[in-house]
Amino acid sequence: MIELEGATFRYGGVEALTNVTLSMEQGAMAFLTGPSGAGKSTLMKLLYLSLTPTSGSVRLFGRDAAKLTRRERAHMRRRIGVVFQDFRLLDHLSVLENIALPLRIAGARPADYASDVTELAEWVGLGGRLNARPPELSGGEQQRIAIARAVIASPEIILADEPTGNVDPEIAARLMGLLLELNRLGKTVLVATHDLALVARLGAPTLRLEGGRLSQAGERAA
Amino acid sequence: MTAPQIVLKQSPLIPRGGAPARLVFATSAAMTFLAVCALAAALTAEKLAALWTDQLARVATVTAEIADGPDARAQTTRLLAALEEIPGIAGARALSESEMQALLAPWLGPEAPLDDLPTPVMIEVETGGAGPDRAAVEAALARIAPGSTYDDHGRWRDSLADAAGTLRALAYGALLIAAGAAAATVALATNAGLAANTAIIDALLLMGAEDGFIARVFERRFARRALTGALLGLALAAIGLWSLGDAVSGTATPGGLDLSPTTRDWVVLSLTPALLTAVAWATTRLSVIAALRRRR
Ligand SMILES: Nc1ncnc2c1ncn2[C@@H]1O[C@H](COP(=O)(O)OP(=O)(O)OP(=O)(O)O)[C@@H](O)[C@H]1O
Ligand SMILES: [Mg+2]
Repeated sequence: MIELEGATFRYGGVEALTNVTLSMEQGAMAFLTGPSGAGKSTLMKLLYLSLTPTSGSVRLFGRDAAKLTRRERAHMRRRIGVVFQDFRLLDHLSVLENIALPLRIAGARPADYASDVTELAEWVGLGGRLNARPPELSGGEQQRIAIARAVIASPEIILADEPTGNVDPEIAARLMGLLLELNRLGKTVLVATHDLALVARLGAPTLRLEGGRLSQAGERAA
Repeated sequence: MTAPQIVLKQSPLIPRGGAPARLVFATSAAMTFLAVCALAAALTAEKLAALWTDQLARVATVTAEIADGPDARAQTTRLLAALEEIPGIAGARALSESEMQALLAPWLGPEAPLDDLPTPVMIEVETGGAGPDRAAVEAALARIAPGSTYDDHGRWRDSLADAAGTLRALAYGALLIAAGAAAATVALATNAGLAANTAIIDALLLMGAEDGFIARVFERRFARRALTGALLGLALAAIGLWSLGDAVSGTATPGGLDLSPTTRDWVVLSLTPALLTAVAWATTRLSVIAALRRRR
């Protein structure tokens, strides 16, 4: 489902990832840890097709990402739900509209998804702020919008970059619980995080990045 | 769980407003106004040309050089008879004094003292078929009233048609320029809009939006701005054109001529906003898609 083969990525002169090889089967779950600047977000960006590796390859759903047409890439991105480290919310849209974006992009009708979107917003604890704009909300509340938006369209792969960095431990556990639940439902989930305590508690396989190199090959156990 | 009826808005994905959108509106209004005026002028000219050409085609004029005197009346009668004998002339008739008066009124006033003026005798010739042989007419004139001239208005007809044709070409030119200006403004506005909203566009692309989806966001905005601007331009031009109609029907125009646009003309004029809106729509779409492709 997710395969990186000798992937290297360079930002100009800075090599952020060096020769990373990893693979995740459908339905797998893993954490990606490592110190700040280790390359976690860069690896995520390769996987959500925002960056193309300088060398090596990215294969998703069995297809080489470098060989996709623009249209195919767009369609593949819809099968991947992303919690961006910087959220990338649309500041002029309400909480509900932000969460609904992937459905809107996929061409669904508002009448068909309004209640799902509202339900999910309430579940992540934004029930009282459905019509607020992101700039009026706290970092933690914005993060919850980002998570709800990443999962609303039922993507097959979920990539979460620091999804609990800004929320208190109780909410963090709740959001992680959501990702675990989605994984139980068969989604492939990769979570980049600093929160080693949380990782230890949840016990999913852990990939460790350091200086752009993967120090533990991650194969999913059952 | 029965949730209460939830209304989920579909706000525009790009924040509204901004100078570029206003520029599209203003340019579209100004360009439509000018193009509609040019088109209306061309339509009016064509109408006039058609009307006059038609009238002129069936009449010719002889300006008869007949000296005042006891013999004048007999000489005129002879000339009329000679003219009517020429094949291609259906009839000839000297204008009466009051007709002459009416003809000269615009220049000399209604009380023109015709008797005191050396006015020639004007003969209205009604032509038939392909019209008379010019040489035959001129021979008759030379024989009976030397110095008289024959005018079949051919020169007028040609230059009227020429003028109408030139105005039509100018109007098409104006329309092209209007469309070009609208396209240029819209392309500029689109690129400004893309540049001002890169974060949003990147986010939408990462969520799987296709180029066409992004393009539609802008298309809708700029096509609507162009349309409302163009309708304003059309309305302003229409006010002017209506007052032209009023001005003309307020005076006694020969032949009861009405220069205000007909229903058909209005249809033609209304195509201008439609054209500009289509141009704005297409330009936006092409600009957005080209810009997104360039960014890869
Ligand atoms: N746009 C960029 N241009 C140049 N260098 C970059 C860019 N983005 C990241 N880098 C560099 O690449 C390296 C990896 O960055 P990355 O964001 O992937 O780290 P990270 O593991 O996600 O860190 P954090 O835990 O702080 O989010 C860092 O050295 C960073 O400075
Ligand atoms: Mg990061």
